[in-house]
Amino acid sequence: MFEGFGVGLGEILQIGTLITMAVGIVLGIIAGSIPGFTITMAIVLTLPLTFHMPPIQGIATMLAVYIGGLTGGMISAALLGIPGTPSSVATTFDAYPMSRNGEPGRAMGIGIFASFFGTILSTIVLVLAAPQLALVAVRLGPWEYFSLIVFAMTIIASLVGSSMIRGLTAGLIGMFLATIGSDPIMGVQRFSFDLRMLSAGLPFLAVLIGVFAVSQLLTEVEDLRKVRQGGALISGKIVFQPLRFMMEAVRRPVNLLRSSLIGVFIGAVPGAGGSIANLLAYDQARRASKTPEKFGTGIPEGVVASESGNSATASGGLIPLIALGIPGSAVDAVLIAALMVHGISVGPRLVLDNPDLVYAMFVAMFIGAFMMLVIAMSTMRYFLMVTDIPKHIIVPLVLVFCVVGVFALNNRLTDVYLLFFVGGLGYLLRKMDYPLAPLVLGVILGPIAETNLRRALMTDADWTLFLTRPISLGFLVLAVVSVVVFLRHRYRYAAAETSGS
Amino acid sequence: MSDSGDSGARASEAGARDGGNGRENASPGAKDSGLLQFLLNLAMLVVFAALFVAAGALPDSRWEPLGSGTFPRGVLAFLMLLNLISMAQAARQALPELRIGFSRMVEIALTTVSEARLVIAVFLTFGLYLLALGPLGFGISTFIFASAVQIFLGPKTVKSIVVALILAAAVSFGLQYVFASVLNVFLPRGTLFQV
Repeated sequence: MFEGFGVGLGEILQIGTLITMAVGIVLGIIAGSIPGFTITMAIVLTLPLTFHMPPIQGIATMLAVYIGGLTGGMISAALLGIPGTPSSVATTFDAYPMSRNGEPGRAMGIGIFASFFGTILSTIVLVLAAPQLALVAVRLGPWEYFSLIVFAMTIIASLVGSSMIRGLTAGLIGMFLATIGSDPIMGVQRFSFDLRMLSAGLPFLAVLIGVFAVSQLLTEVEDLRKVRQGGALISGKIVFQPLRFMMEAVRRPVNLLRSSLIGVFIGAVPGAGGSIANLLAYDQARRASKTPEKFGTGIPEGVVASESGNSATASGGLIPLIALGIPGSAVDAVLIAALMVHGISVGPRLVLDNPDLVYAMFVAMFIGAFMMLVIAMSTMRYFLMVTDIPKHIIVPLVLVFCVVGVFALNNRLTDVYLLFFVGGLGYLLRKMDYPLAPLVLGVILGPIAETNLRRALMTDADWTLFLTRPISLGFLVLAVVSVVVFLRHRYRYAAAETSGS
Repeated sequence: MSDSGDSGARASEAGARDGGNGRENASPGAKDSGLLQFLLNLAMLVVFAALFVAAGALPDSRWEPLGSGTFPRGVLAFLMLLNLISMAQAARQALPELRIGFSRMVEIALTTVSEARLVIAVFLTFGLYLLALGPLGFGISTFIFASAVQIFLGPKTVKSIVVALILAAAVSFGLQYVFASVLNVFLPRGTLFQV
């Protein structure tokens, strides 16, 4: 192993590789921080630029964009309340209130250190336990996947806080939106009503940006006086204390470790990625907390859980990629495409045939994490300048970036028209007090749930298999426990409120 | 699990008291009105029911027990059930609101629309911008949209207008150039200008 690390270190510590990695980190942070630019899009746009590079340099650069992007997503989540990427949805829950409470520097500082520790811890797990974790993830059949989705849907209920009905409704609306377009198995058109705009389905990016970004930006212009005054989105003095922020993250070792391990595991499950990990890590941190009612008000625990959870998925996703050639996420699928462009076959023999490449990937993750820390902390002040930009500038310019992001993915104008309608729907649901995160989660989980349910029943029409397969049963039991715990918590809260009044 | 008690009635009464003039205390908003929640849930129920019926026409498969319509029908059925529960919850708040009279309701609705006029204006301008992308292209339409909204929303000073025009040029023509030359992504060039 150590010999392999020596070779990997030698491959990465080339001046050219280090420079392109540093550029990748910066581009990743910028792309991730712009709502509308997902990490997948940043990686896709980077791919052609790495064609002329040697394979290891190309892959290391793309991993750097990945690491930078995961951190960048936190920036717009913390400063604008808009998750820059789906991986930072839960970051908005506490980092944004913290910024609104006058501590944007603290929110970003804690987030950056949590991301750093999440990446480092998960990469250690990747190196040490990759084969074992990959074996567990690969044993999941369609029954287990479907039960995992049911479990994830029950988590929605505990995430939304005030109303389980509204949370579930939003989640199911998301699941329904995902059924528009071609049926994933038969290819039949569903709910497209012969409209060309709907025939390809609702692109996830258009839904994500419309629901979160457009509706949030519309909310920002509600108050005429504040907009006209040119007030910044976040008020208060910016305090910049890297050591204090580091200690705030380090002083929560259990939260860091638990969230990172959740991130690694979720990242290793193909199809589930940072978008689920950050919500799950946040939820578990809240459940483990002695003061769960403080979550959502701007506390460090929430930021640490979400950011370490989503950053850990990067290494987690590499586990099935390296061990079995299965992508853990869309970004990993692009990485596989990049390896194939360079003539490297991805599969179980990757470690045997290209150990230098695999160890170079491990080393790139470690070095990328350190680079991200240094670059993000030293340039954080410039990202904090976003806080000084008044709303009348931010709103139209970010709307333009949203349009560019949605258009550039498929080069389709119909996608930007969908952005308009989804944005309007998101605003209406926001005004009706429906939580929006479950809707987006529903769009991600819907197709996975449907495909696996149908595959399971195609394999064997016996429904009881969902209850007789141990891992599937385990997820379903967790789902029931999750609902019971939530209902108990709500009942106690309501009883306490009644007795208080 | 229940929603916000009788806050809807209280909020509506507050809105009715100030006659829609007091911006500070008004704006009960959709989430606070039980009646509005009831009506919106009713509208959603009708839409979901229509989609449920439409999903019934989707073909079955001879290769699998579930056809292409089964999963969406299950989702829509669950949604309808949740809607009915929401309507039952909202009905308790909606009844006291009905007592304030139809004219008051219209007044509150008009006040809400009036307060959201800036949002409506920006949203409609955004829609016009998206429609203009095809014929005018990204550069020109984005420049017009970005500069117009900045000037409309911002303070009317020479400095802020100049800043708005510079930023609009940067995100329109600048972004178009960067995407085309560096990333080989061509943003809409405009059908009106194609030979």
